[in-house]
Amino acid sequence: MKRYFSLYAVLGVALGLGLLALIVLGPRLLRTPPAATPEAPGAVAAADVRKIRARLFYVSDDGVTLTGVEQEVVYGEGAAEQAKRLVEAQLAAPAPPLVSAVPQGTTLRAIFLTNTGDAYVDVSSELRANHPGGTTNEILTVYSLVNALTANLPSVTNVQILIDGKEVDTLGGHLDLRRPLAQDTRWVTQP
Amino acid sequence: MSAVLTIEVLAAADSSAAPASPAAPAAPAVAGELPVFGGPRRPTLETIVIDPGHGGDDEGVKGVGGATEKTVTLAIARRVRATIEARLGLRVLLTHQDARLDGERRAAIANNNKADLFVSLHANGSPRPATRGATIFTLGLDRMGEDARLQSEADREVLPVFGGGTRDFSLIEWELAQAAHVDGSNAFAGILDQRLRSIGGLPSVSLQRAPIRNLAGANMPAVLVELGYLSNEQDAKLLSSADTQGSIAAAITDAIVSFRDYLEGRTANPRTDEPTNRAP
Repeated sequence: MKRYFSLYAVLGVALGLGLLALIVLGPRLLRTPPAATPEAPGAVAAADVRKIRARLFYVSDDGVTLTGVEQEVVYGEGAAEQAKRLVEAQLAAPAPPLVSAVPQGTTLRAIFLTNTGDAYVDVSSELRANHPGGTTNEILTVYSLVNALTANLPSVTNVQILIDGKEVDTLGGHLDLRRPLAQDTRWVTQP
Repeated sequence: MSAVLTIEVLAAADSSAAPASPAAPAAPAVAGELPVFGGPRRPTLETIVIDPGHGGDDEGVKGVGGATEKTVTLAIARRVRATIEARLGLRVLLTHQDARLDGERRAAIANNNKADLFVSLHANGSPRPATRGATIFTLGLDRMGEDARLQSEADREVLPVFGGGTRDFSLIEWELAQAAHVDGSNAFAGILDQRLRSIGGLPSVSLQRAPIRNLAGANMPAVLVELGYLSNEQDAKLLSSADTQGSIAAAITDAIVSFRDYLEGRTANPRTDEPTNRAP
């Protein structure tokens, strides 16, 4: 009898520990994706990427203003990470018929936010080297980046563009980039 | 940060200019009043600086049919100079003859030559090939520029200068010199807007304000004119043609005449509208 009691006690303890493990580890185990499903190289598990709706800016049909377009942008944890995701989305080539004011090949090097609302966006030299020129075109290029941040992130009020980590006078000889620029909606028309 | 102070040497009183009749007793000097010098008033416009956009290894916009911005702007700038000199007899300087200059240097040439008007000539580009038309830019002031403008107005003093007349003096940062001239710049832009509209073939003209680097340091009324889009086939042909270049030179010269009338009080402020985006 005593022997059966010990056996029941051991089984009870084992069952209790098992239940406890299920409660603690269960959610983690359930979130783990099945390892047996192979994916093609480079494929993105789109359903797993959290996204936000943001307003990005492209050259309007008249060619002299920007048009704000709602797009899906990858979610970023915190303002700095979200700013990075927004700029990366603005730099990416859009699907036709949208036309970007940002020269092809431009990439984001780094982004810095200050607690006074300034954002410093450091981009690659292609922004200048591949720019086709023209004052209006240069304005649209700069304000597509400025507005992408200031229109979507309330904590960013001014944006200064850096190229290869350095402050620049202008992009192509026109717009003054020596100071952070505020959002300017005069260059934006409704679609 | 830098500031520029211009000092003009005052003329000594010329006794030979005194009238033959017995001089009236001199009026008692009033504390704080400056002496009045004789002689003719200084003309409102003596020197014009024309700035051909880009230059040297900086070609600017590469247009349809091979036209480049630096070539078009230099050709038009030379025509503008010839037309102004022939019609008005004013001193006209170009900032360069096909050389790469940064924005600060261009404004410095105008400042160092005491220009009364600075006109920077450019040609536009767009990823939309159908986009056409001219655009006239004046400096749009940010918060810092607006503060500089208000400060310059508060500090302004009117002093007599050599040869007669007076000149406004105020201390302002070199890089924000244009802040003290935005009203004059907008007035000239309004006049030029009307004159350029009269040129056949140019489909539209719009006025804009933006933080333009070339204009920020100019210590006189200043505009940047995008004369058309070299990325558009029709505009590129027009801007490359001798006829249109001559018409543009004549329109700029006409605008200078009207601006002189405005400065001398013979016409009211010509500007009637705020800058707007106008589609071609």
